[in-house]
Amino acid sequence: MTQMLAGACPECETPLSTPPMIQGETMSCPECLLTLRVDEVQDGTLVLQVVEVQLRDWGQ
Amino acid sequence: MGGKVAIVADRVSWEERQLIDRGPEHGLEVEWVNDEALCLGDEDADALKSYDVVLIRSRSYTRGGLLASLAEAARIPVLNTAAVIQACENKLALRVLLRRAGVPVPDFRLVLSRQDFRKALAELPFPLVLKPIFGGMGKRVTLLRDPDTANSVYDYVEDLGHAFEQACLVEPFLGGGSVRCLVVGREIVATARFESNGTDWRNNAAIGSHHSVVERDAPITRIVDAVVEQLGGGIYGIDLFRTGDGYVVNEVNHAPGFRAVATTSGVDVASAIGRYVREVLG
Repeated sequence: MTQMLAGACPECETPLSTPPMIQGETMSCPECLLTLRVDEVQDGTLVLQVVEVQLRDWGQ
Repeated sequence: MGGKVAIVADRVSWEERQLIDRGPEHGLEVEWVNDEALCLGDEDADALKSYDVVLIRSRSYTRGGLLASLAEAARIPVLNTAAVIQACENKLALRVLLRRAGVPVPDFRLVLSRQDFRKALAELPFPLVLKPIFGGMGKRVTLLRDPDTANSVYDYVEDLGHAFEQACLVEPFLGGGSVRCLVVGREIVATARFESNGTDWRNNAAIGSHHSVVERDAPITRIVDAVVEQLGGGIYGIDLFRTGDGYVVNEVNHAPGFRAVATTSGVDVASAIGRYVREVLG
């Protein structure tokens, strides 16, 4: 059975549960739809940060 | 012979995840390093010291070249090199470099003002394409079918906040899609044809285009080899247009997305990159 990771959206505080993710991967908050990046995984808990969907100087 | 690799990017997307997953097959320990939190500059800074090589995968064309310069200054091998990134991120600089070396590129005019724009419209036949010198993912690349629309479009260019953003190229529209060649080291590892999906004339993968298999023939190999001869070995997405006179190089991406090409061609591009990184490390 896959071990789930837990966290909360830093914007709307909705509790989140996900299959394993690694640092740097992103997900959408199902409640507020913001894009969240996994900055750390500490003992099965995700530390999430809101990131832009797109920046003006993206080009590669 | 170390094998610790930093993927410098602002997030881990499909390509970065593939590189991380395939790393161990090539004796590499690949980690994501946040490109917005390195604070480089001190040559003895800890941020990248523990890595044997840095893969620049920043989507930001502002960040990639700057970070590569400082990583190199700290004596850490970087792929691609700062010089290559700086050549590729500037569409004009790259075209000048290639054209001077006899590598075919589309005809173009540099447009820095309304006066330049008017002259470009007079010198080149419609339909034309207006594109920013710094930019990618098809953003702001505009198809100009007639002079009336063109002049109105340029009103918006003039309204952009900075001359850096206003610097554009105008070039003939070479329809029919493009051929994307993924180069790792000095070899083409995968190719695919990118065409409009019918809802947007542009064919960038980021916009949502149609992809198909394309045979890697001698003309493709010849022009790609000529590009690599100028840039040196590296990891490139080389975009070609086909014309009546053969292929021309539209642009070279220095941190190429490869999901579409890998999926279309069936080639494991991430493993090819892993092998190349291993080769670079010795």
